[in-house]
Amino acid sequence: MPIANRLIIICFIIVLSAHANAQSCQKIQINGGASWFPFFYQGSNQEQGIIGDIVIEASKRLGILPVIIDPTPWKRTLLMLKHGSIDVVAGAIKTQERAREFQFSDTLITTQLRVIVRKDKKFAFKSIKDLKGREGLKIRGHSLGSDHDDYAQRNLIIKEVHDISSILKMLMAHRADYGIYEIHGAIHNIKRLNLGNQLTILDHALSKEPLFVAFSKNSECSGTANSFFNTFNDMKKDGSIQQIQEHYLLISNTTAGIENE
Amino acid sequence: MNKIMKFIVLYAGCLFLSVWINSVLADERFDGRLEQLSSTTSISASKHQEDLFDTPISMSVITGEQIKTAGALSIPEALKLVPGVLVRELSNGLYEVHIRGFENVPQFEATTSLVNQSSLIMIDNRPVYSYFNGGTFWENLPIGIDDIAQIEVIRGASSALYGANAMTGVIHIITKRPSDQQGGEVNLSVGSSKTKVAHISTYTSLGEHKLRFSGLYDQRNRYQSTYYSYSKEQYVSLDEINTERSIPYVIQNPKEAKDQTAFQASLNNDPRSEFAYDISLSHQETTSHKEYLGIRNTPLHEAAIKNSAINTQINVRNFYIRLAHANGESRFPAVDSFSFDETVTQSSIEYEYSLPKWRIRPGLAYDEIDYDAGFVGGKQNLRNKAAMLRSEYQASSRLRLIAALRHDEYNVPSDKYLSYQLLSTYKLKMDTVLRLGIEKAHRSPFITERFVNIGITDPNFPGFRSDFIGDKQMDLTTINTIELGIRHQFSFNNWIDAEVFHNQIEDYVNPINTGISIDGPLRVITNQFQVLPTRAEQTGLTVDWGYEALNWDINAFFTVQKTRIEDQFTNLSSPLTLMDKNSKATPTTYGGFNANWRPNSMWSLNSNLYYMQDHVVKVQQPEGNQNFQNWFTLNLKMTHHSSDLLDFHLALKNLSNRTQSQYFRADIIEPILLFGVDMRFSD
Repeated sequence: MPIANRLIIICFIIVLSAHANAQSCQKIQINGGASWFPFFYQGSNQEQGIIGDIVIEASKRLGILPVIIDPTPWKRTLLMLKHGSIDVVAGAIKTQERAREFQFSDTLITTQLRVIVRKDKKFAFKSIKDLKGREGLKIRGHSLGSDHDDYAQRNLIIKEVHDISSILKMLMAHRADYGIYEIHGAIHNIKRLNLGNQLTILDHALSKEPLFVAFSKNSECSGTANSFFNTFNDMKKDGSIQQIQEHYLLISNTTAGIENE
Repeated sequence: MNKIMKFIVLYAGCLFLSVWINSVLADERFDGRLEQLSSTTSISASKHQEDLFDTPISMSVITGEQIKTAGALSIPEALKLVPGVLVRELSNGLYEVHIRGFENVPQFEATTSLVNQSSLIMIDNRPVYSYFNGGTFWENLPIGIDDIAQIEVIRGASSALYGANAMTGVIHIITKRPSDQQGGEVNLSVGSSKTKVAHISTYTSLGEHKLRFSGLYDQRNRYQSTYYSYSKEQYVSLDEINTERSIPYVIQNPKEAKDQTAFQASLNNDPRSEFAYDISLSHQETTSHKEYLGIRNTPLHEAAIKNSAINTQINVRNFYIRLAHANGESRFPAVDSFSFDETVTQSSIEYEYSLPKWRIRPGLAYDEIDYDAGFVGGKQNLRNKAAMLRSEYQASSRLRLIAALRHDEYNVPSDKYLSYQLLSTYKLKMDTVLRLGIEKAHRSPFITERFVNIGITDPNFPGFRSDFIGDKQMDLTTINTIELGIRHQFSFNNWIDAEVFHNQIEDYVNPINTGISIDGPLRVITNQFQVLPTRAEQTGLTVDWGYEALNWDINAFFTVQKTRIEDQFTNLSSPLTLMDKNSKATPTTYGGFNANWRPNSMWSLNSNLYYMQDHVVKVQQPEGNQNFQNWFTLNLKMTHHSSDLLDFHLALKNLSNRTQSQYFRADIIEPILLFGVDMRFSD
C-alpha cells in the first residue's frame, strides 16, 4: 500500500476517533475547592462561584451539560481529576507538577491578598515593611509570594492557623495585630461572623495570584479542553467573565449565604 | 569504623541520594497557595500546631477516624497502626506497648523488665504514668476509642519537652471536643470471648462554652481460663497453681480479662478566645488481669483499680497554664501487700514569646507525687521542680534550629538532671524535609526502688526470708539519642518518612543479692537496689510509606533494629559476673500495613496486619526464657454506611500464623469475631 494511502487512512481514523470523543462528551463533571468563596462554592441561590459559573457558561455555549459534583476534600478532588473521574476543577493554582498532570486554561481571574485588622488598631499600610513590629496571622502553608515570603521570614512575626475563621476570631481576641487573607473570602467571612463593626480590610494589596481552570487528561471530556479554553477567551473578550465577577462582588457585599459551609 | 557507624553512614548516603534523585521531580510550589489544603497537624512535637510534615522530630499521628476505620477497640490496639511501636496482647483487651524497644533490658531480671518504664503516655497533656514502679496501666485509661480526636506518637527522647520518662518517646492522646452546637454518639461492639464494648457521648453548647460527657463500658473474657505455671512449664488450672502455694492466689474470676466502666466530662470554650480554658474530669473503675511487679508462680493475676482525675488547661494571652490532680487506689488480691493508694498533682506554667525568626518558650513545672503502700513503709513522697526553655530559630526559609532544655530538681534523689533536645530541620524544595536530632532524657524515680524496705517470707520456704531494700540516692536511668530523618512527598498522594536512630541507655536500677545472713532461725537474703554497670545500645531504621488512590489507600511501615547490652550480668548475685551480648527481646524487624478500600459510598473495607520477627525473652529463674516465633496478626473489617447517622460493621481480628502468646507466658491469642453499630446525632 502506498504511503500516501496509509496516511489518508490514519488521518481518517484520527478524525473519526476525535468525532467519537466529542460525541461521548455529553456532560462535563465539575468540582473545585470546598466552599472556596467566591471562586467555587454552592450558594443558596444556585451560585457556583465565579469560576464555577464561568465553566457552566462555557459548557452551555458548547452544548455540553454541566454537572456539579458534591464537595470533596481538595486532595481527593485533585486525585479525581488525575484519574479522570471528574473532568474539570474550577479554580486551581498552576504548579509545575500539576502542569504535567492536567491541562490548564489561561489565567481567568486574579485575586489579591489583603491585610485585615481591628478597626481600633488600623495602621498605615503601603508595603509589607509596614507589618514589621506587629504580630500577624495567616493560613498554614499559604505563601505571601516568593519575595514577600523571604522578607516575612526575616522580619515579621506571623503565626499560622487553620482557617479564616481562626484569623478573624484571634484578631477579635487581641491575639494578633493583623491577618492576611484573600480579599473576597475575607469580606464574606467578616460579614458571615457579623464582625463588620470591629474588623476592616486595609486598602493596599499585599500580593496578587492568578487562578486557572484545570482539565483532566484522562476523562471522557479531556478532548474538549481546548474548546473550553477557547470559549473562556471568547468570554473574556465579550465581557461575560467581567459580568460574572461583578455579580459575585455584589454577593460579597450582601449577606448571601453559602450552603455547604 | 564500627558496624553502627557504617550503617548510619550508609543510610545517610542513601537518604541524600534519594533526595537528590527526587529533587528532580520536586515541585517548588507543590502546596500552591490560597487553596484550601487539608493536612495532618501536630501540637506535640513543638508545643504549637504545625504540619506533621514539618515536625522536627520523628513522629506519627493517627486520627480517631483512622482508628475507627481499622477496627481497633482499645488505645494500645490502635497503636499497632503506628511505625516504631511494639504492641503485645496479654489477653483479650490487655496490652503492653513499647516505643522502639528495650524490653527485657537488662536480661535475667524479674518480669518487671518486660514492662515499658521508658515512655510517657499523656491524655490531653496530663501524664498517666505510674510512678509506683514505672509503666502505664493501659487497661485503666479513663477513655475509649470513641473519645479520641487523634494520637500523636513521638519517637525519641523528649524529657526536655514533657519531663521524666519520655525516654524512648511520648504517646499523646488528644480527646474530642465538640465542634457543633449539640450532638452525640452511641457505639456498640459485641463479639466472641464475650467481648462487649459500649460507648456513649453527648455534647451541648452553653453560650460560648461547650460541655461534653462520655461513658465507657468495656467487658471482655480471657481467651483461656488456665494460667502458665513457671514450675510446670505449661498452662494449668488455677487450682493447680494453688497446689504450689500454701497461701492460695485470690482470683475471683479467672475467665474475665477486663471489666471497666469509665466516665469523662469536659468543659471548654473556643481555644482562640482571649481567655481560653479546658477542664476535664474523669473517673474509671476496672477489674482486670494484669502482669505486675513480677509476682511469682504465674504472670497474670487480678487487679482492681479505680482512679479519678481533673485536668485544667488555661491559655491567656501567651501564657499556658496546666494543673492536674489524680488520685486512685490499686488492689492486687493475689498479693495484697503490693496494693497502694496514689495522689499525683502536676502543674506547669509556660510563656510563649515571639520575635522575627525566633519563638521562645520558658516555663516552670512542679510535681507532687504521693504513694501509700505497706511494703514501702506507708506514705512516701516524690517531689520535682523543673525549669524549661525551648528556643526555635528560623535561620532561613529552609533551616530551622531548635534547642529545648529542661532542668529537673528532685527531692529523691536529692539531685538535678538536665534533659535536652537539639534539633534541626532543613527543607529541600517544598516536598522534602531533612531532620537531625540529638537528645537526652531520663526516667523518674519510682517509689519501690527508692523506699522499699520489706522482708518477704515465702510460706513454701519458711526457713528463708528475702529482704528488699531501696536506695533513695541512686542515679536515675538516662538515655542519649541521635537520629537522622527524612520526609518526602513524591506527589500529593505518595509520601515516605524514614529515620535512622541510635539510642544508649545507662544507669539501670535493680535489686542485687548482696549476700545471705542468719537472723535467728532464718536465713536472710539481702536484695539491695543498686545502679547497675549495664548499658544498652540500639541502632535502627524506621520507614513509613503511604499512598492514596481514588478508592483505596495503603500505609506500610517497618523498623529494623539491633540492641546490644554491655556489661550484662549472668545473675543478680553480688559480685556480678558481666559480659557483653546482643539482646533478642526486641524483634530485629517489626512493622505492619493498613489498607482501606471503598468500592462505593455504602461500603468500606479495611485490612491491617502487624508483624514481629522471632525474638527471645530471658528473665530470672524460675521464670526462665520464652522463644517467640515470628508472628503476624491480620484484622479485617467491613463497614456498611447505612446513612450519615448510622454505620454497621463486622470485624474478624487476630487472624495469625501462630498459636502462641505474644507476651511472656501470658494467654495464647485467639481470633475474635465482632459485630458493631455506630450511631451519630447532631443538630
